Amino acid sequence: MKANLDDLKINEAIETYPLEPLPSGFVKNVLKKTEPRPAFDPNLIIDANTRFLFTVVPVAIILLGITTAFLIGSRDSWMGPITANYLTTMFEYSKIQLSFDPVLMMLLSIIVILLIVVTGYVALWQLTDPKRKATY
Amino acid sequence: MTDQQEMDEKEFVLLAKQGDHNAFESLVYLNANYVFNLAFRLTNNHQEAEDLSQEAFIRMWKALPNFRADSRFRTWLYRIVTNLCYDRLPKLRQELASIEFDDVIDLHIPTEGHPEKSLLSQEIQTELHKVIDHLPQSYRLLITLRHLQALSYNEISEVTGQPLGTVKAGISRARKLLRERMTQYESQSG
Repeated sequence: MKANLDDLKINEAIETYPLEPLPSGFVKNVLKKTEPRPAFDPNLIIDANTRFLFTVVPVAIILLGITTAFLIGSRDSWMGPITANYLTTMFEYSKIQLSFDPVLMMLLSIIVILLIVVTGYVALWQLTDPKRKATY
Repeated sequence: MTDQQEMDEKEFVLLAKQGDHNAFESLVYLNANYVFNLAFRLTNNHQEAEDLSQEAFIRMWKALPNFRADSRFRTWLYRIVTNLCYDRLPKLRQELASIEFDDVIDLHIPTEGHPEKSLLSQEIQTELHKVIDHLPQSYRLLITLRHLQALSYNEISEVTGQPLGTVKAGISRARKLLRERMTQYESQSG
């Protein structure tokens, strides 16, 4: 009987141990830290105007690239012989047997630059899409 | 927790698993007090308990899609909290593991028939609360899970990752310490 009474007393002691109050703002902080965020928030970094710039800049790079390629490839360009020598050395090392025709070089340059710029442009466009799925 | 609250919690869990942040908010409100106090009982530090319990909820949110309801939601949540406590308090796990259970008494602790009025005077109650404060962390964890969080011994074993015998032994020893102190104090008070 006494053992039971003692157990009840111990229960009471443990169960009346005071609870600490929750710190203020606790739940709010937790919710803030777990709030779903878009992968790339256009409101914070990219707005419609900035997105427009992101399309203009790659186009400008494409044009610059084409111009540079043209200059590199052009027989009459001052850059032609220097670049031709450099490219010759590079291709020798890589064992690629190609005709180092400047026109061909120009075309290859245009293609490579176009590929890089278009890929980058598409990637940027996807990233700045406001409807992109949220991540945490 | 009432039956209604338990049913609500199950519903919130199902919704939160699908990414419903409002349901997650409800789960946080339902459990914040208990989780924070569990962390505080072990760390005895407000800031650390706050960081730890917030981290527990963040981990819970990330892991919810994988929660399979093999165990009760609370058992799973307290396991997250306990694992975080193990990381912050490396000696806790060792302490628990070192509890020997060769002398476990049968823990038939009465839980029904709570007396209407208090059996303990305010002084003895306060004294026993101080004893609880100074219990080893492992004992504090076990009695908190048993009495504050109302987990069964099997659930406590699951939460702490310790054998059932260890859980019972730890709770038994904690209660024994409290009983000894209470008897001593009662005889001193006359």
